[in-house]
Amino acid sequence: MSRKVPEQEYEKTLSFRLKQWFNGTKDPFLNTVEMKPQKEVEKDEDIDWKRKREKRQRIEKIYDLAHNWEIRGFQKFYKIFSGVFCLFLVAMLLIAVSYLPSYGHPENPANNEVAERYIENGLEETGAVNIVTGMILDYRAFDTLGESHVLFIATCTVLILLRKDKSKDGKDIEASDRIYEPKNDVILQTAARVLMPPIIIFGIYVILCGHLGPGGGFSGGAIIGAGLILYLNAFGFQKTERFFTGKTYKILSVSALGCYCLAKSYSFYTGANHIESVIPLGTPGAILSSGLILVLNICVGIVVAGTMYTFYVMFRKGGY
Amino acid sequence: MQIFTNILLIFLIICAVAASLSKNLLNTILIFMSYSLVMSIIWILLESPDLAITEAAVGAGVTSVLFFVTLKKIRAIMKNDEAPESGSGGRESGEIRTAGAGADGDGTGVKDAVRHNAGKGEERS
Amino acid sequence: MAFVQNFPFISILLSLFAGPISSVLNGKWAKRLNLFVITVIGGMSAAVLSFVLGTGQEYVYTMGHFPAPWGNEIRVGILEAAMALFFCIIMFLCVIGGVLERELEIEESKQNLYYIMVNLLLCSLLALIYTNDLFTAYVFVEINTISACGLIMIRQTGRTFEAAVRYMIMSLLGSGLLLLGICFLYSLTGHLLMSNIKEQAALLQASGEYHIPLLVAICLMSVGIAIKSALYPFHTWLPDAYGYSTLSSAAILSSLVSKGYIFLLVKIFYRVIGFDIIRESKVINVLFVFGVAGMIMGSVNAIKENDINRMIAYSSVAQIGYIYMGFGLGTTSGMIASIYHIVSHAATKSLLFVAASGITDASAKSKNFFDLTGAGYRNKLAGVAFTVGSLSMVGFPMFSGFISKLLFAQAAMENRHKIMITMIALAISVILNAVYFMKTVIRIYTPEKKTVVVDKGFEEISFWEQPAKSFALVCFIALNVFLGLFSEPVIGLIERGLEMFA
Repeated sequence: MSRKVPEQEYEKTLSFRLKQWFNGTKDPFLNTVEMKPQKEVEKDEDIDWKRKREKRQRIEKIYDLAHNWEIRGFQKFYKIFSGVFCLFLVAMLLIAVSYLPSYGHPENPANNEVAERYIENGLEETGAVNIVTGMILDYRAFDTLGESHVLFIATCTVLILLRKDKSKDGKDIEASDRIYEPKNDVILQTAARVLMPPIIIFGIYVILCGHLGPGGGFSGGAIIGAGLILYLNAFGFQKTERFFTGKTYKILSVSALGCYCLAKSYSFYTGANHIESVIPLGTPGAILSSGLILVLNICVGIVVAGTMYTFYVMFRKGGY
Repeated sequence: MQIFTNILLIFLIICAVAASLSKNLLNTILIFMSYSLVMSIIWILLESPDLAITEAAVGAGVTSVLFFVTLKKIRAIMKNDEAPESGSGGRESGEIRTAGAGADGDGTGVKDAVRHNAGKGEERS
Repeated sequence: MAFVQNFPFISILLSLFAGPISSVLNGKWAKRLNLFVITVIGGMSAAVLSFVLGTGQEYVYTMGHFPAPWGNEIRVGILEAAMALFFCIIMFLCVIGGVLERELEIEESKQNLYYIMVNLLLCSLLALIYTNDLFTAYVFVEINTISACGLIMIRQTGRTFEAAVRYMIMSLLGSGLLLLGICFLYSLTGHLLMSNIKEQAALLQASGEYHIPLLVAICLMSVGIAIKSALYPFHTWLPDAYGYSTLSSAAILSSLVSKGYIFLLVKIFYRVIGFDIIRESKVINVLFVFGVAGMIMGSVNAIKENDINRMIAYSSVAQIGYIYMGFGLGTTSGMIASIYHIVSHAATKSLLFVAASGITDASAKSKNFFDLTGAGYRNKLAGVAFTVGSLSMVGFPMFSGFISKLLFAQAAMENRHKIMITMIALAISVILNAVYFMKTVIRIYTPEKKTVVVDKGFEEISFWEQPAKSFALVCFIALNVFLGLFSEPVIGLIERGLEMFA
């Protein structure tokens, strides 16, 4: 002890009391409040058991739905009220819609200079014969960038929920999944063998000709995804893993989305800074035309196909 | 053509109402598939072929297949609560779905699965 | 065009691109990439803010080669740049503060998925702040919803699944109503760019045709956004979602996600429809009533709670009620008070969540109030931080909550009809806030017997044991005191930003 004052005197000083208060070792009520000494709570087994029994009885009485008129009354009221409320909402929306401008009328507010320019100058400015594709991938490309990332993030969320690591369960999860199904069904396999190539080729055709006719990345990607699901269903996981594994999906999605981001950054940067873009528009009607739209369609198609397939695989097995 | 559109629209409303009022989940999914098909035809009548192709591929194709797989996973747990090989594989992924699967018969199987999984959820949370 | 003007677009695309890249990295590298991206975007936002303050006017940046009504564009002014900078700071501190909890509660292989969600959430918040197009706002609202659900759901317990499912259903309902409102507006005006819609809406209001669909569109959009940002009768998803998710998710959700939607509502009121039309349509009276009800009922429900995280979540309901009450006052000063409260609440609520986790760490991770007794002495920094946060919520001078309550009271003075209700509601809610916050502060500073401490295994946690969380807490306290003491520049910034916002 190297203090200048002895211990008893030190305990009377202000700094010691302050330190005690800060550390919480001082009883705040000592010497300040008149209090009767408190008895320790005695644990009585009997009273404990009685309280638990009363609580159990109370809970049983509440959940005894046949006799609890409060809950039943509320349930009936809820059903009636929700029905009335939905009908009211439907009626209000129908009335509001009836006041809107009628469909296809030439003097609608929607037929203004915006739509005019899309229709008349759409072909020359974007190079796409299909004006809708030109609009979503050139005029309003920012929205489509957001939409493709919505697909990506939906896949990530499904991966969070459903992906299982192989390290924990050494068991074959696929076997447990197919217990009640016939394996190697002849009808399904023959039909898949005949149908798969046309489906995939049709999907590729819809993607590539997105700017020439109806279709585009989203439709074509969905068709290819459906074809892959058919193949998986008919032939099982072993055969499908020969060409489509988890790594394939990761590489495909990162490169497709990365390519989309880079292409669109170039387009937005040159557009905002009023620099002319060097990408040629080509002759309308040819496949290699309309600038970046072909590339973007392919990227979107790859992302959509991978998304559909990943959803199905996660639902079935929880892994690739 | 206008009468055809009106008939399709009425059919659409009937499908939507029937899908929510039906008691059997499998029937609901089939009605949902037909809803998607009718929707796809209406898109063509409204002159947007891109939407028609996408709706046909996605609605009547992929989403319905995903619904069927989900139904199968729920039923697998309901039938096979005590069997060891499919139990652990399906139980973890089915934790949230058993809570809502009570629509289909099999009363005791679902209640046991729900209580078991609710107990597991309580321990872990 | 100065290079600084490209920064908003670069920040949106950088965070968007960081999402898919994080999917191929493992947990540690994804975290480093995430923190790097947030820092870079914060720096860029600061540069944009100084540029816009220098020139004194906002500018428009076309996304693509086509100008306004035919192509997309983003618009950058003082308020947008300031909000972007502020959101980056809060997100950085939240992500740092919750590092330990993430390593414990999330599986190894899914750590990088968490950072993908945070990156895409940051991108959607930035896009909502900067956008000048209504449909782009809707697309990024979708990304916001899904990534918020991912953030809740990544901690895989039974209760978080239920909370995430409920949040998803209610949030999708809100998005659906918002989309219906956008469709109505498009068929009435024919434009999707915000400035163009405003001109057309002024014409419609003057001529008086289509006034019923315009009113219905305004109502649908307001109710949709109110559901998504947990206004009082639509708040039932909030306590489960914030109370049971992992720490950084709860902090990010409560401070940033709801505020992003409220900022979108401010944009819709000012830039899409025009505040005069909104005031005449009396929609703000309905929002005012719900806001006042939320202020009181949120606090009443918080008093009943026994779990500290759920108590803080219910207090969020009350604070969002304050913001909508500020909208309901219908004046510019009411708007300024609401936006200042957005800033103050974001800083305080995340502070409270991180401090609460520090307190429960010192009580063997139990969230029950009985076990938290005396925790202020076991983890001193968390105790001080929780006290600062509580005093700010109650409205003690020197902290940010006092300034926002003062601004609300001043704004209420200008509106003759609503002044009595506002003042009474403010007074009641201050008392109710004091009841449950001060009860917690007193409890954490009541000394606990040594035998109980040793029995239950509570340990002391010093400053250096959890360096990341302590750093986050110190920064949060500094931010709160800064907002409380030096609020004049911030209020001036908000006022100038709101003038050029319309």
